[in-house]
Amino acid sequence: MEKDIKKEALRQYLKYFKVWFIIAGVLAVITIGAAVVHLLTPKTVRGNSQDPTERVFDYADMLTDEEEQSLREYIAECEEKIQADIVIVTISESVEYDLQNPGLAEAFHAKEVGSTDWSTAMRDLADNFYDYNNFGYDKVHGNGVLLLDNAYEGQKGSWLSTCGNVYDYFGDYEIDQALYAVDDYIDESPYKAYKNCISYVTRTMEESKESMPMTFSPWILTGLVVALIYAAVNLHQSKAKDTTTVNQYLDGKKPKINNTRDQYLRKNVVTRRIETSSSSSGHSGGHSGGHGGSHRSSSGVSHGGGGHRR
Amino acid sequence: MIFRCKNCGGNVVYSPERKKMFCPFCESEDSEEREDGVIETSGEENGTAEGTVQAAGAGQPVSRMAAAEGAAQKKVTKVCPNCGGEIPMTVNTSATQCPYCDNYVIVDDQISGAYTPHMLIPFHMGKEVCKKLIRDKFEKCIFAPTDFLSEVRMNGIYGDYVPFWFYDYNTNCTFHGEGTKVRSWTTGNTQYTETSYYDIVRDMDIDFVKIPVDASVGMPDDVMDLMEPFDYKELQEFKPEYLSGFHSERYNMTSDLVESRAKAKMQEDAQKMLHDSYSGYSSVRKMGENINVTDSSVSYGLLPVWKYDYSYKGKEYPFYVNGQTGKLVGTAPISKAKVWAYAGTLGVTLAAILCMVNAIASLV
Repeated sequence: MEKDIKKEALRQYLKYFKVWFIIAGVLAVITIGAAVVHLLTPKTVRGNSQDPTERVFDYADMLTDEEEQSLREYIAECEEKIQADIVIVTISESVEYDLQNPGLAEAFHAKEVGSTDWSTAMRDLADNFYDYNNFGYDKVHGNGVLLLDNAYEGQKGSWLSTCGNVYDYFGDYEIDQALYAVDDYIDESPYKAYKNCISYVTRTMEESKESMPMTFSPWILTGLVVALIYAAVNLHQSKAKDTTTVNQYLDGKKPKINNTRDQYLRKNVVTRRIETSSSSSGHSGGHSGGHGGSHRSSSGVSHGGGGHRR
Repeated sequence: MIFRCKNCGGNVVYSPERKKMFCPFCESEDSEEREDGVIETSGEENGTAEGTVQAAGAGQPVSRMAAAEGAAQKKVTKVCPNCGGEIPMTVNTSATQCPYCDNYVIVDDQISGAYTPHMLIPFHMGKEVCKKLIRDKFEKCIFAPTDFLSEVRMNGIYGDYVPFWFYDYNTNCTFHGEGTKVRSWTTGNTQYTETSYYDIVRDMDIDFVKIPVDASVGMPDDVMDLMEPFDYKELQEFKPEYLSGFHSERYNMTSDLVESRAKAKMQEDAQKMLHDSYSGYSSVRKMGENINVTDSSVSYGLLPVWKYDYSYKGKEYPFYVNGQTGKLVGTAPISKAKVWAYAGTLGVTLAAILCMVNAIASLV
């Protein structure tokens, strides 16, 4: 008897969760399949052959030939790790107030460069350079990051432009940190500064990949919350209610009225003036931020980015 | 007494579906023959009045109720007129089933003399309908123990005619008060609020008929109140035949002991009706209210209730179903193991599914 009940309980349990178990089972098979395929297939190979092989564009001559070569090798190593192009561009040009600098426009393949605003000018230069040269690891205008460093006296500073997976992972904080990595060493050695920046980008991108399993916790929490709600809903039992009416036990269902009187006695009136409130409206002042944020470049590619002016 | 079938000698019972006497053995209808076998009390003899709680003489109501609990539960055994087996029952039992020969026996002296019911409502729904009602209601209760709705357990359901006192009251209800009506309007920049005062007088005769109060110590008062309402159109004159096939007991609390409950019901309803009669006012200040009983009477009858006694982990879970209307009172027990297992499985499976969907999305 006791055994039969346990058997029946198990049967009911399995029947109740049949669909759930089937879905979970099918998904488990797919997950294992996907994991196996993922492990067996080599890492994404370059999906873009239209970008130049050059990664270091030292227009401002900040680096020695040896340093350039060393950077190229380091970049090649890092690019494979993070599946994103890494590009270093140095210039020594006035980008501010100089709306018609034909030399600069030619170098950056832009119709019009320069702006009265340093940040906007640096941003446009960086994004346009990236887009025009078809950078991107996985595809044209795909994953990548570009560091533009300006050594022009009075307009010194660097801008980091992000795209694709770097754009996805890098928020304002990460961009700032990458730029600080440049700031820390630029006076000592530009080579060290750029390498430090590349190293920070690579490290952060790798960490973001590793922290992927952390995204499971919200799902586990969701499961817990749903289970609690489910238990609460099913623990609730509707109780029997009083279903008798007021006249349930009344002879003829209605009382016999002998006398009803509603005699008017008096009244009083209270008056009140209504205050008309004059409406007022305020203007909130404009707010300007120092960050590039998310934007589309003139060629329609989404870039993120930010700059530090020294 | 026992009702026997003329045709086969089997035990004839009242069938709620057929509204007739029915022999479940040879399927004859109205074939009953009354056999007035005297039911002897075996063991020590108790006076028939002993189990009844009376208002007179006894002390505090609380101690009287406590005494009633004990008295009503007092066990006796009586000899089955059919097989001679000893049937265990309480001193108040008037109809029961012999555990040996399964015949339904009726204890003659519990339905005669002062204990003769004036009326009763016969069972309207049979056992199978009652089982279905309970199943329908608790089917979705997945945390209930597995055998809660099992055929084996549910077969223990039995029909019980519960003794009730029915109170009739003729009342004169009066009310006096001052009511206000508030009107508000706006002209230009001025808002006017006008309050009018009225003198309210109400005088009505309210006649209550058959306010039921259970006369059984064993039946919980709140549950019996929730069993209401019964449809009095089906009230029949008492006949012992109706008891065959069911359990029953005679009243074991006297009418004056439980009358306070009837009066409370009467007063509540009368007040509501008075209140409804001046509902049009914004506010009413009560200056006088009087509910005066001009005439009253009481009668004794039986009302049909199906009962399912389910015990789980040493605790009783009684379920009551109105044998006429099917109204159900009772809450299912909860199996903690099931709550953990079901909620846990749901949570873990859901989390696993979401995590896997997430993993697949990031891998592909």
